[in-house]
Amino acid sequence: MDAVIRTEGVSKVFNAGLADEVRAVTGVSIEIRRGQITVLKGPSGSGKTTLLGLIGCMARPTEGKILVEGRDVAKLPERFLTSVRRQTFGFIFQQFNLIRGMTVRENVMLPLYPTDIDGRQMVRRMEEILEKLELSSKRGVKVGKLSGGQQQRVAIARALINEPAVLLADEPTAHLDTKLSEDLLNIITTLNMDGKTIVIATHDPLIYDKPYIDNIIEMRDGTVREASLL
Amino acid sequence: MSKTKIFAAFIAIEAAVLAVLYISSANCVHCKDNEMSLKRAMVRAMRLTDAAFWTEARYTRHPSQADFFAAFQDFPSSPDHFPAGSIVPPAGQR
Amino acid sequence: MRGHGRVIEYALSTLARRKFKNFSVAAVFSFLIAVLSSILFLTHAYKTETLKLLEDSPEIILQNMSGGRHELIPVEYITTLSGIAGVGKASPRYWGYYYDSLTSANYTLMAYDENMQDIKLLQGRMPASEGECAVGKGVADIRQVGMKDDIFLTLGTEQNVTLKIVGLFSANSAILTNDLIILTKDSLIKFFNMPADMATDITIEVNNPSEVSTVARKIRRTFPNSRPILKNELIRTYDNIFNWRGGIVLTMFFGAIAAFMIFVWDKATGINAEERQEIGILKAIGWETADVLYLKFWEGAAVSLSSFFTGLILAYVHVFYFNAQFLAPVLKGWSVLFPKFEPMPYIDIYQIFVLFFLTVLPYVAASVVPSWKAAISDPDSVMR
Repeated sequence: MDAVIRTEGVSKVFNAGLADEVRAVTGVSIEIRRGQITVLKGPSGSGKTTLLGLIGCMARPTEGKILVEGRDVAKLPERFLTSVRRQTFGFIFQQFNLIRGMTVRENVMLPLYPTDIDGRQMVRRMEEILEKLELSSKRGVKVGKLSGGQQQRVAIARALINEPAVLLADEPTAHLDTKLSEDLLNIITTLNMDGKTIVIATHDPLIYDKPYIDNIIEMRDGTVREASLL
Repeated sequence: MSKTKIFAAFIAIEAAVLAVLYISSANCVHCKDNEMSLKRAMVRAMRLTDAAFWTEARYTRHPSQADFFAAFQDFPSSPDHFPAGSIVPPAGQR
Repeated sequence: MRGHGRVIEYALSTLARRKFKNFSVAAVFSFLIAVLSSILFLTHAYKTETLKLLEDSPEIILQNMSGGRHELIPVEYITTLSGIAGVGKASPRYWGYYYDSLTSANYTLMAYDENMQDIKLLQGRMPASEGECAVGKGVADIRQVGMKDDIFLTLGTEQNVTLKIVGLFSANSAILTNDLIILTKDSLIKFFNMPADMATDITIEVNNPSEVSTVARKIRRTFPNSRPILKNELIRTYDNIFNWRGGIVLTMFFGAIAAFMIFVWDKATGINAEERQEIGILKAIGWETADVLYLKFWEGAAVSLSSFFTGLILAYVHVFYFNAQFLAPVLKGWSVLFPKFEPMPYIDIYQIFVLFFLTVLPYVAASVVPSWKAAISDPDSVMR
């Protein structure tokens, strides 16, 4: 099967050479397949968030290769890394990471601000996504005034604005109750059916026990303990 | 783009005000050329050698003609070449 | 270019989001610029006007010295002086100081001579006979007298004089005439009890201005007890005075400048967690380092540029429309007779540029530099 991302022996060491050196990820080789939902499962501190960051070109590995669409990004200079990140990935963070004090529409369009996209096209895209996520009525509201579930959806909308092929989510249900978590999973499966590749890092059984999860990669102490590729 | 427009307008207005002020200052200096030449004629005719800014002591009225030790003549504890500039008047005055 | 426009827009909304903070920064910044440029404007305007006027003062003033002090000069020197090569017209000046205990002010008394006949900035006329005088605006105001009024001056029982005011120097010449009382030569000599054939000093014209110092040297050789004061010494003195005076006032505001510098330094040495987080988010959602720095540049530039312009406008209006009302007390001190502040609007563009480079640029740098570090670090920090 076609792999969007492949890692080969990837390691990440923080504070290398210092007393507080941390080996967050060691020798990980995995594949993320196109159009599938992959879950990185493991307890906190197992390195799944770090791995997600590496896959999403947020940081560079200390060792190993990361191939995005067959191209090794581990050694790319920062400018190219940013453009790969912008074109390929959408991120959903555990903390939502919205800009407080700004409206929903501004937050959603923010990733496109420095790009050359036409203003009207940008707004059109934003409106479409808000429509899809049932946020249209909230477009002028400051994000600080929204509930946790709504903020989560704004974060998803922002992740989708640059039409990424891959959606990366880090503990997306950490701040949501069961009902909202189910809603979120519905959104994610819908997006998956639209053709998005999805990677979720989580230790929430609500997610990884779902039957429609295609792959589960279990991590522990920075290494892959078990990968069940279906 | 609304905020950019507001900001650009604000800066443009300020720049315009400054430009107008600058032009008007040059203009004002220019229109006072006549007054200035009258004053210069006055300096020439009266053989004036100093401006009448600080008249509180003779070494301040004509600083250019003061003796080398002048600062000690009229106000021995003067901390300033122009006693008026010291804000606090010498003891006994007023 | 579209992208840049939107980043600027975003920079402005970021500023608007921290309205209170940025507004107070802008207010302080504008105030500082207003104070600094008021001082620069005022000093420059006065300096320029004074120096221009002094261009027309006599080439050489010759003083007689006795015991190292200024003494009256014998009028007969003029004959000898006229024999010195290069010396043009030499003529005596009769003038002196009068301390008026009534108003605690010093006046300058000066004798009329026929050269003063055609002076324009005078209401009325020059004194023609004993018992008449023309006075400066400052004198008239402080003594509360006008045309046709009498003014009484005394130096003791023997020396006193009552003068009728027949001329008033106009207000716009106050920079030159504020403390003057012009009276006839005979009245002056009598009032000051000056010996006959003595003058206060002698002014000398020089045929070739480039030979002034040579002429001065010759005069000194002829009259070893004399002190020639050259016009360019005069001008240099005034140049120094104004620079020095402006410097003193600037020093008084040193506290304000220091406070502002500390503030800029504080901004420069650390950005707060919220700003760092925001930079991380922007990076994580696909902004490049350059975009983030561009954003920070505009945040700094917007605040400092608008404050700079505002400060300049305030300073101009303050100095040239309100006659430097807030600064005047500092320059005046306890001076009794100070000419009314109506500076001619001479502007030095160079000074404005210097001020720009010393305030706006450091501020912009202080906005951009600390963000640099946050912007070049890997954005995955927002995930932790």
